[in-house]
Amino acid sequence: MRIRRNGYNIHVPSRIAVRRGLRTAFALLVALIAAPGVAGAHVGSPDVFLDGTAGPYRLFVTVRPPHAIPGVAEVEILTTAPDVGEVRIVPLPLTGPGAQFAPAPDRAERSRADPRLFTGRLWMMTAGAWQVRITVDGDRGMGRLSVPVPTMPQATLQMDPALRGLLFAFMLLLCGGFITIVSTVAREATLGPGEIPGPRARRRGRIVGVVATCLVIAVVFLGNGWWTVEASRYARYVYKPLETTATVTSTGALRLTLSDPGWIRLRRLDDFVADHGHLMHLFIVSPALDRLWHLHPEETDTGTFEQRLPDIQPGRYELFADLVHASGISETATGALTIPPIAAAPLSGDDSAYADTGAVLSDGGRIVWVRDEQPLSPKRLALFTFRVEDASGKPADDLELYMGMPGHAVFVRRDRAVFAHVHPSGSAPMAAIDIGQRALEGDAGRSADMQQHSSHGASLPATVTFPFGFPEPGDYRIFVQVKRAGRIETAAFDAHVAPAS
Amino acid sequence: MAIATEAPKRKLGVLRALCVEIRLRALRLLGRASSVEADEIAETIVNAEPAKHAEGLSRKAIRTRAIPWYLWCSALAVTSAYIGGYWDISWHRSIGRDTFWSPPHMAIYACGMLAGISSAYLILTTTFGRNASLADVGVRMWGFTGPLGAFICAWGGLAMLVSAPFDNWWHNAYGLDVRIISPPHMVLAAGFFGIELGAVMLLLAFMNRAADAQRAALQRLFLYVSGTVICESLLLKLEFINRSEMHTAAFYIAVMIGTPAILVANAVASQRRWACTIMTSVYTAFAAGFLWLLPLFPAEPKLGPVYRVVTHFIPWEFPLLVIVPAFVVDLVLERTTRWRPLLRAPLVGLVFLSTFVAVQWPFANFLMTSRARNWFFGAAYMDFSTPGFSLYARSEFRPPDAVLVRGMLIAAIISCLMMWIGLHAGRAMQRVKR
Repeated sequence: MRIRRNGYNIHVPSRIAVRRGLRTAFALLVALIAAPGVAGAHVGSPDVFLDGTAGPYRLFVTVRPPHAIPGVAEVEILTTAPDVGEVRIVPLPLTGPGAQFAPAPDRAERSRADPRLFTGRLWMMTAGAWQVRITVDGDRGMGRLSVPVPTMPQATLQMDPALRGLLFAFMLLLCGGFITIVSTVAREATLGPGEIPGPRARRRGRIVGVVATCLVIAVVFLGNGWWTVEASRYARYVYKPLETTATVTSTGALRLTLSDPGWIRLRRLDDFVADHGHLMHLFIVSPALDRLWHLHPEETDTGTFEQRLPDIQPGRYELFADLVHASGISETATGALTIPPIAAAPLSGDDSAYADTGAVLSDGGRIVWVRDEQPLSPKRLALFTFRVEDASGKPADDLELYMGMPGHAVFVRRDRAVFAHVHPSGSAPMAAIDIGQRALEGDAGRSADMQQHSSHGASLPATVTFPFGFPEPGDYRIFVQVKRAGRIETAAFDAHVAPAS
Repeated sequence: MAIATEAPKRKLGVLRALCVEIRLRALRLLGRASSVEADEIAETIVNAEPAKHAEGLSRKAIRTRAIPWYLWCSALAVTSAYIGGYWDISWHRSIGRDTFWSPPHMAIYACGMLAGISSAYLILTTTFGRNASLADVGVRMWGFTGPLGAFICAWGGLAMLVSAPFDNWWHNAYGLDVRIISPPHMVLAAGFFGIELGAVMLLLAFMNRAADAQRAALQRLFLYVSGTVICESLLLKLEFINRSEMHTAAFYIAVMIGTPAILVANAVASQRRWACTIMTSVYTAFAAGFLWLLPLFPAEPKLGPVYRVVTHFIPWEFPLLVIVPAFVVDLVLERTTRWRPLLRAPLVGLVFLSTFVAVQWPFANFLMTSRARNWFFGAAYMDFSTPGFSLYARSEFRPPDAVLVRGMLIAAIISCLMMWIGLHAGRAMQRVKR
C-alpha cells in the first residue's frame, strides 16, 4: 500500500506486498560513482534521494548536486515499470522568477545494462534551492515530478600537487619562452639574411630581456592577485551554515538563537516555513549517540526558538536543527549545549525521546531492520526497511502517521560529521517538495493529493521503508521513529559502511 | 606595359598569342608573376618556341612566387580561432551550456593545431637542415632555429594547451564560469594572441623580404590576418560594448583600449594604402556575416531560467562602425607620413575617436528603434537569459553618467596613447626580416 502525497510515495506496502517485498527490500538499486561532498541541507550528506511518482510511474531518484556552483549535477532515475518510453529532465530554481522559465529538457539516457535506469547530467547555475523536473512518457501516458535539490557551493577544491607541479612547470616554460622571444625580437628581428647580431644588437636584446623579465614578474604578481580576489569572492559564496547559540534559561527552557554568518542574499531568518507542521525539528543527541530527543521549539522572535526541556540528564549534548526557508532552501543548523540540572517539562505533542533501549519498544514489541547479508556501501541508493512488531512478535497493527509520515529516520555517523533526517519519501524535506510540486501541478492538484493523503491516514502496515545512501564510509547509528496508538516509539540500529571497493 | 608585341603576334598566330597574353595577365592579377617576369616571358615569346618556354617559366613563377602553405596555415589558424570564439559566445547566448568537445571549442582547438603544425614544420625543418633557405633568415632559440613568428606561434599554442587543465581545475574549484574574463580564459587569450602575433610576425618577415607581386599578395594576407586581430580584440570586449552602453564613456574607453594601436601598427607595417579600411572591412564582413548567417541555424536553450524564446543561434550585434574612423585615419595617415609620431599620434587619435563617436552615437539611437529589429541590423536578437526588465530588453541606454565629459577625455587620451604606440610599433614592424 502506498500513501501518495503530492506525487511522492510514502512507501507503505500492503501486508502481502510486504512479504513479497521483504525478500528484496534491501536490494541496492543504483550504483554509480558520486562526487564527494561535505555540506548540504543535511550535514555531510548533500545527495538527494527520492521515492516519487510521476503520473502513473513510480520513480526512485538520486540527484548528486555539484561540488562547485555553477556545476553539473548527476541524475539517476530508476523506474519500477517496464513501459517507460522516455524520461526528460530539466533543472530550474525552486522558487522565484527563474522557476517559471524552464529551458528545453534533456532526454535522460537509458542504461544498456538496466533498461529501467535513466541517467543525465544537468547544469545548476546558482546557489540556493533548485529542482530537477522529471517528465516520464510511456504506455500509460505522461507524468511529471519535481525533485528539490539544494545547491550549496562547498569548500573550494584544493589543487592536486601533481597538477600544481605541472602547471607551475608550464608557467615557468611560458615565462622563460616569453622572455627569450622578446629578447630575440629585440636582438635579431631586423637583421638581414645571414647577418650576425653585433654588440649593439646583443646589448639591446639583453636590455629588452631584463624589461621582459620585469614584465613577466609583474604579470605573474598581478595574476596571482587576481586569482586571490576570485578565490576570496568564491569563498564568500561557499555555503556557510546558520550559526547557533544555544542556552538554557533559568526556567529550564532551551533557547536557540540563529544568526546568519553571511552567505547569499536569498537566505533570511524571517522566512521559515512549517515542515510536518513545525518550523523547527530539533534533535538533541548525546555524544555516545545512546540518547536522542526529537523536539519542536517555537519561534519567539526572528531567528530565536524556545522550548521547555524534557527530562535530560545534565551533560553536554549536540544539536541538529532542521529548518526550511520559504525559498525552498533547507538547512540543518548545528550546535552544542551543556545542560545543567533543570526542572523538566513532560514531553508533549510530537516530541519524543529515546534512552538507550535498542530496538525494544515501550510495550515489549520491537522494530526489526529487514536486511540481507550484503555489506553496506557508500554513495549508493538503498532501501532501508524496518518492520514493527508487537510484544508477541506479530507485525504491529496499530501504526499511525507521525507528523504526516509513517516514520522518520535519522542517520548519524558516530563522529557526527554526517546527519540526515529521512522520510519514506526520501531525504528532501516535505516543505521543499510541496513548493516544487505546487508550481508543477498548481494548488488544485495539491489539494487533491492532500485529500488523498488524509483519507489514507487511518490504517498503516507494519513496515516502513526509507530510501537513502550513505555519503561516506564509517560507523553510523540509525534512529527509526514511528507512532503506535498515540505513542511515539524510537529504535536505534548500528551500521558499518565499508569503503567502496 | 606591352606584354605581347606585334612581332610575336605575327609569328605565333593570333589565337596562341592571345592565350599567352591572357595567361600572363592572369598571373599578374593573381600576384604570381611580377611585371619584370612578364616582360621576361614576353621577351621569350619573341624567340623561338616561345609558347613552350613561356609556359615553363610561368610554372616556375607560380612555384617561386606563390605564398607558402605554412603562411596560409597560420592565417587559417587565426581565422579558426576567431570563428570558434565568436561561435562559442553565440553558443552560450543561445544554448547556454556546452562541453569540452562542443563544435566551437573544436574550432578553437583547430587554431592551436594548425598553428602547431605550421610552426613545428618551420622550426624542425629549419633546425635539421631540410629548409636551408630559411636558416639564414631564422633566429636561434633554445637550440632550435626557425622564423621568429614560428616560435611565437609555438608559444601561443603551448599557452592554449596549458589553459585547458587550468580551466578544467578552475571549473571544479570555483564553478563553471560562463564569463569571458577569468584567469584561465586569459591564459587561453594569451595563447590566441600569441598565435595571432606569431602569424603577423611570420607574414611580416616574409612580406618585408619579398618584392613585387609576392609582396603584394603577402600584404593582402597580412592585412587579412591583421583584420582578424582587430576582430579578436573587439571580441574580448563584448561584455562592455553592447548597445545599451553606447552612450556611456565606458563604452568608448573600452573600444579605445588596444584596438586603435593594433589597427595603426599593422597599417603602418603593411605600407599599403587603405590598410585601416581593409582591416576594419575584414572585421565588418565577419561580424555582419555571423549576424546574418548564425540565425539560420536552429538552437534551443538548455540552461534556465529562460526568459525569452530562442529557436536559433543568437549572434552578437551589428558590427561597430569602426570602418568609418578607419577610413578617415587612412586619409590622415596618408597625408601625415612626414610628421613625427609625437604630433601625428594625437591627431590620428583624436580623429579616430571623434569620427567614431560621430557615427556610433547616432547609430546607437537607430539600433534602439523598431526599424533596427530585423535580420539585417539584428537588434531583435537577445539571448535567452535576458530578462524583460533589463535595459537591453527594453532597448534603452544606460542612464548617462555624470562624468561623461571626463570619461570622453580619458577615452581621447587613451586613443592618442594607443596611436602613439601603434605608430612606433608599426615603424618597428616595417624592419622585421626574420
